[in-house]
Amino acid sequence: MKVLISIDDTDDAFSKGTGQIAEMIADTLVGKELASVGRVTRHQLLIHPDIEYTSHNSSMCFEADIAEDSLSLVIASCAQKLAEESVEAADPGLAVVPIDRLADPARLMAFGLEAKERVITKEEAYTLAELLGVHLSEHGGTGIGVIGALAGAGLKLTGNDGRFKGKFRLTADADGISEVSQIKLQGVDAVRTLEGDTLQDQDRVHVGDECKLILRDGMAVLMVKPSDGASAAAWTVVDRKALRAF
Amino acid sequence: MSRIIETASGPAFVGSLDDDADLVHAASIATRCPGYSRDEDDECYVEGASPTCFNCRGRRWTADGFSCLKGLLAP
Repeated sequence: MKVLISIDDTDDAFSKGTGQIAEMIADTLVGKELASVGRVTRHQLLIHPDIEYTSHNSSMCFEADIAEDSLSLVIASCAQKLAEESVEAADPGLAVVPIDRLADPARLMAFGLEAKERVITKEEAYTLAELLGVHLSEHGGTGIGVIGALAGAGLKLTGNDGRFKGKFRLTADADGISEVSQIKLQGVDAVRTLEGDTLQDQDRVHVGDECKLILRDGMAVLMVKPSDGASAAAWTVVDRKALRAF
Repeated sequence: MSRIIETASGPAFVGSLDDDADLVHAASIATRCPGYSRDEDDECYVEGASPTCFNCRGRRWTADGFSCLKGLLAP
């Protein structure tokens, strides 16, 4: 069965980040042979003075494929690792969403989108989790991270939010240029412009040394912009600044 | 144009990644800052390795800029 595992509020300004802890949880599940896992995605939530967050108020989520009878073991393993790795000053939360058993997926997605627009209470998160049959638990501090954890899972479920953690090095020629057909052989599902147009296989992109991918239509998407003569290729990957919008 | 303002929780930088002057201002502050520490790569929005408050582990994003968790923001 497929589950979404989402965490939030694990760090302070000086500790390892939530994304790193999400990867550690994923690695632990794989190491225990409890799951095969997908890539971690980062989901931006509302920046607001009434919300307690460390520095950017984002949550981290990944999909895992687990055995039908191992859900309790998986939850326990995630919870243990989360508690071990979170700092004392943090308020960590964990959500584990059995995708196929979800009572009302649209409600969870709507919750995620709402968490980008308004301040949500912990009680609202727990109420919805119970209604939908989602595991939601807190592991220290005020436990306020349950809100972001649940929201992160909802946003991941939309398939249209956030970006993949980490940088991706794509094979290219000596000028840092690669064809879309080659890019799509390297873990990238599509190459699109900021306006939403999809590039064709024969289009050429200046990919440089490293790229970031975003989650769109359930796919790992490389975002590009016109190179405007700065490269021999017609397209170049967008700069970091543009990624903040995702 | 960026500016440093005083808030209840300390000094805050009002400015934007989209404004070149703000980028210069944030780089100038970070270059002189004894507490500068680059955030993990996924949270950095300015290209390159040069110090800038926009990439600092100690900045806390706000609706119109960021505050400094280390209390070191100074004009």
